[in-house]
Amino acid sequence: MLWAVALGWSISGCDCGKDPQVWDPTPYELHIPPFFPPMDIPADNPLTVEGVELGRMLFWETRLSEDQTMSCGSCHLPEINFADPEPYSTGVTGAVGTRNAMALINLGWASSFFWDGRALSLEDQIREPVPHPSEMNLPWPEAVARLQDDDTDTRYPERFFDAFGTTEITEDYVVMAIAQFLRTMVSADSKFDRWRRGEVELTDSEYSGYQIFLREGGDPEEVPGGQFGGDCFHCHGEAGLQFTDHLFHNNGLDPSFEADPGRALVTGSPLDSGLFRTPTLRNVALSAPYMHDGRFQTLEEVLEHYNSGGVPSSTIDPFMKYTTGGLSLAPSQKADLLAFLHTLTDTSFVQNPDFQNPH
Amino acid sequence: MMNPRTFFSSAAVASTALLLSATGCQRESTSEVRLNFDVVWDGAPFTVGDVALDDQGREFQLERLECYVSDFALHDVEEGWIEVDTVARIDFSLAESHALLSVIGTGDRSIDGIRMGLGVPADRNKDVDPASYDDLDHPLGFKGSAGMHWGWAAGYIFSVYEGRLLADPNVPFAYHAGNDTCFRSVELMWDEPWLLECESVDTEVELVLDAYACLHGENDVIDPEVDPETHTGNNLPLALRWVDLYQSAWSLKP
Repeated sequence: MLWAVALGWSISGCDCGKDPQVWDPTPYELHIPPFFPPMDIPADNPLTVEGVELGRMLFWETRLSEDQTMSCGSCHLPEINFADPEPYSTGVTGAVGTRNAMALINLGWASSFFWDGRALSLEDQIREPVPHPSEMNLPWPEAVARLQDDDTDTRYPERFFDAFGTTEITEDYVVMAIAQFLRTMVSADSKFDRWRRGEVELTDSEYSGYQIFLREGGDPEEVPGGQFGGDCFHCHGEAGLQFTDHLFHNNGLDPSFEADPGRALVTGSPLDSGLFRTPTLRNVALSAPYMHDGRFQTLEEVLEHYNSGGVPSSTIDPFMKYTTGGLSLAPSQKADLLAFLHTLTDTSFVQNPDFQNPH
Repeated sequence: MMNPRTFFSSAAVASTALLLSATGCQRESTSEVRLNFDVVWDGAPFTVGDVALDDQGREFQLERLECYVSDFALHDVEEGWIEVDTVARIDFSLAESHALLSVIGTGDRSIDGIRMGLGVPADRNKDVDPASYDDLDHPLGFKGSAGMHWGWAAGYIFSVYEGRLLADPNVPFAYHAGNDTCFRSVELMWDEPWLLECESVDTEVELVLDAYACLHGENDVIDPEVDPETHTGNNLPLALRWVDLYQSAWSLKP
């Protein structure tokens, strides 16, 4: 009898020292860079090594699109700061979106998502693109079924077990995994970061550009309080080194907003017509085109927009107070401001192998 | 007849209970006072986002009214000013915006005044990095201070008053007062003292800010067409004019 039992064990390949069904995720040690604030990570979706890796797999998974040709990475390209080089992205059906794909950088510190802030969590934001008819056009039940029925080397059911303790895949778990991955996409090694850490020096032009960034605009002889600056800091402040206030502003792009009411679509308030979320300026030199509709192809065009004062409208931000004259920056000042913006470029972020396509 | 042992035991219990009930507020305890904030326009009900008329009859739309308040004290009729250390960020567009004062002491108090700092004292803003707060929801932390330009580069702004005159084209204005030079305190006294019971947690007080009075005072009027903007560092004289009016614009709700 004993020999029969022993034979049975040997045939089954029993690893008798471990229970294969024990869920034992590995905590992910997220490094918070110097001068960055703590990251608000939801208690119900802590970072784990397994969750982050699963999230990366899913971010680059083309099976999450109707015809299996697109993934999140199709519109959020690493070399474009995980944004889209086209003003509008084209989905699997050929439908074209209505806003420029935003850069995926330091999202763990954002308090709202999309240009109009309609998603208040990263998880809620991730839920939208997969079934959206202009994007991946795949209903969630079908997306989940494809992952559940995965018989490739990817072994999704096993990966979901490693990440969440169950082989039963759900929309929530897919979203949570991608959110974990996105939260690890931290950029903090631009030249400006290294300067703040005391590791490098800025050139005279870059430093001058930084001062212009921090000063109020306008000629004090003509505009009370003018400091000949660029007035950038009001919206793109460096609090937490994020270069965005995460708020919503009308920055003088249009006289009216029938084409895209912006934040007003979410709040219903006419005071929010034409307001859009302030994007970060981190890696801005890599993420053309610019604005919610990608209308500006170059940073020079962006500077010229602000330098000219923009277009008056009913909700134009008080900070766009120079619509009747503009900032009147000299060419050398614009060059310095551009030089400063380039110091916010972090190539190690866009080239980080941990963020690239693993398939 | 009651057993003597039982009698004295019962009496002891009763005496102890009576003693405890009579002396419960003699221990140091905490009372809570919730400060609610309301905004009016020249004394009339007002909501941020409404359109009202200024002193020249122009349509005036106030779109953003937020401030930091701190450095509180309640005036006890017998003991004088009782200081309460807390900081709150008040957004007048949010009905639930409030400050919570935890008052430590013994016994009931007779309160007839309140003092409030309009801003944040120097030790909380000088070179303090909002990213250094572990509590993400702290009003001076990274998330809590978003929009208040809170930091060494942005200016440590205490109060934000933004909107526009609805002319064609409209005239936006933005008054951002901050830095220690703009720190003010306001003292408000009640006509009659009221009782703050020890260990009470349901006391509410309402403070009122007159948004009209923030630009229109007895000795000064700020005209957005003439003086549309200050971020303090770029236009300190205007910021000082604004905080002086702002300081005088507070009252207690009757």
